[in-house]
Amino acid sequence: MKSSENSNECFEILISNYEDIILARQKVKSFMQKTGFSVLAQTRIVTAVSELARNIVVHAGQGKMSAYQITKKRNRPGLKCVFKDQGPGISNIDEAMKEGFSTSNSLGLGLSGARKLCNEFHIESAEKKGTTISIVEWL
Amino acid sequence: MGEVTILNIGNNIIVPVQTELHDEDARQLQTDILKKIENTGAKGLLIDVSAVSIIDSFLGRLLVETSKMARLMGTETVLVGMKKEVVLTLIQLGLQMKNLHTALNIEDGLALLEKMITGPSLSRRKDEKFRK
Amino acid sequence: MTAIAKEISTLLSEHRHDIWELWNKYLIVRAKSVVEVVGVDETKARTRTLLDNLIHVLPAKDDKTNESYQKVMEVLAKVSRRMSEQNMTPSETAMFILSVKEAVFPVIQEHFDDKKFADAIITVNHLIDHFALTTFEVYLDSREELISDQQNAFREISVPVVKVWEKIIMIPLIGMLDSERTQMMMEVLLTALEDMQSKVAILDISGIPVVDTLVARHLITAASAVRLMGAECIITGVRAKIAQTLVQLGVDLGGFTTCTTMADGLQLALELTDQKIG
Repeated sequence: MKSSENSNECFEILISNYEDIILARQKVKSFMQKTGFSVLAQTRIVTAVSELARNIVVHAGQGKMSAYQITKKRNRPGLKCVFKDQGPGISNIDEAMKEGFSTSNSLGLGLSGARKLCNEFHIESAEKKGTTISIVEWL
Repeated sequence: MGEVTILNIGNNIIVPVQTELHDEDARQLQTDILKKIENTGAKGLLIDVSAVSIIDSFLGRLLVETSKMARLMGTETVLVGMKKEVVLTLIQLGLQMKNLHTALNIEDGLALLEKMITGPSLSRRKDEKFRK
Repeated sequence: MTAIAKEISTLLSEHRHDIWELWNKYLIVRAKSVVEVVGVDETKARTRTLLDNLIHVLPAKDDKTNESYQKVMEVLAKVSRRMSEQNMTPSETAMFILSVKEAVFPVIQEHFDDKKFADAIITVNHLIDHFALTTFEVYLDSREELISDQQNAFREISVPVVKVWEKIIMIPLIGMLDSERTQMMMEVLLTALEDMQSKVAILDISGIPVVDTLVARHLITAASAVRLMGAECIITGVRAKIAQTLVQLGVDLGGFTTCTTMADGLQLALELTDQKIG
């Protein structure tokens, strides 16, 4: 991401079942608490983490989340979470990003919702090659 | 499971959710609540989420569905105590939970259930058609 | 190019004092306002540091790790920041570094032949323009910082919450309702509901000049949030003009209670909370 000048990896979580989603949520939350994010920001981002981690469990079966502490100009700290899986991938990203689009009989708010909840959202995916989604929130 | 207590008080079932639920726990809770309604014939269901710090699209949908299912069984549902951060997040997420009745706290929730069960009120007139 | 850069560097080094004096003279005559902001003594000190380091940077070009390069950047950042804070224009700010050309070019012209002169001018120009752009970026940055500070301050005062009765709060909305203000307003509104355990929130839109589809959507969002919290939302101040526009635009506020006057809204709120005045 071009806006970040440097980054430190903080933790990595393997995600393969529903308990891992809760673990990812808790770790991100305690990290944000320590960094000084507001409760509202914590809630928004942890919700986004929940959506994206569930996507991994539902669509790819397994994957991982890596969290980084990043800094921007004027030392503004931020959090970056990268969700990576080797699952089936997304053939049409634009369509998948639409509100209400779902291949798993869910509400289809996962991707579109997660994008609305964070400051920056980036998705890369190719069919049969997996998906990488990164989200960034600045303090 | 058994982590979430389901209380039966008078005509109502009260569910204080005290832990972070993962998806399977949440599904199990839904089943448990509906079974409890079946067994007790309760007229009102009150779910207290004041201790829940995250409601994502999955849990949000599950709550809305639980209320719809309860209504099919003749039971009215009120969701109480949602934190303001959770509300703002749900709104931003695009989940408005339109058909769900809500109250600020358990006390208000019980009063609302009472009104909904016993008769039409000024504020809930438009819901009458659901009950008949 | 590198060879010529070294040559220029040596040349400028030899004439550094003349260049420095000429540069300052130019600044004092042609960019008086800049000198006034920075101060005459400080201008002289700053230009001295800049010039010395520029001469060192020349052979290294825009190598960002070079010590002199970083020094130049540092001084320029300080100067630009100061100018931005003093409400100087971007051109005035860029002028500070750009004007060094006025002092450098005559020296180059005097000592280099025509062919070399062109090369030398390109080299110097390239470097100085690069630095001028930097000053511009720093200037913009500190402007943005200032604007966002002001916006925050403005937002904080722009959403007052009034407790009008037991369990009833009111927010008078005034001016434009964009998505950021809606977000801010919702936070304030929900915090008040939570803190005061109020059952009814009245949103008064009398002070909103134009209600279009977008504003209506923001209102619906806010009202939905109030409902999710477990309170009722009443929108008051719906004038004839607003009612007309909303229906013509096909906006449905049907799910939420609306009325024309604050008085009607308050009356309804009292009924909803089983209260009476007096």
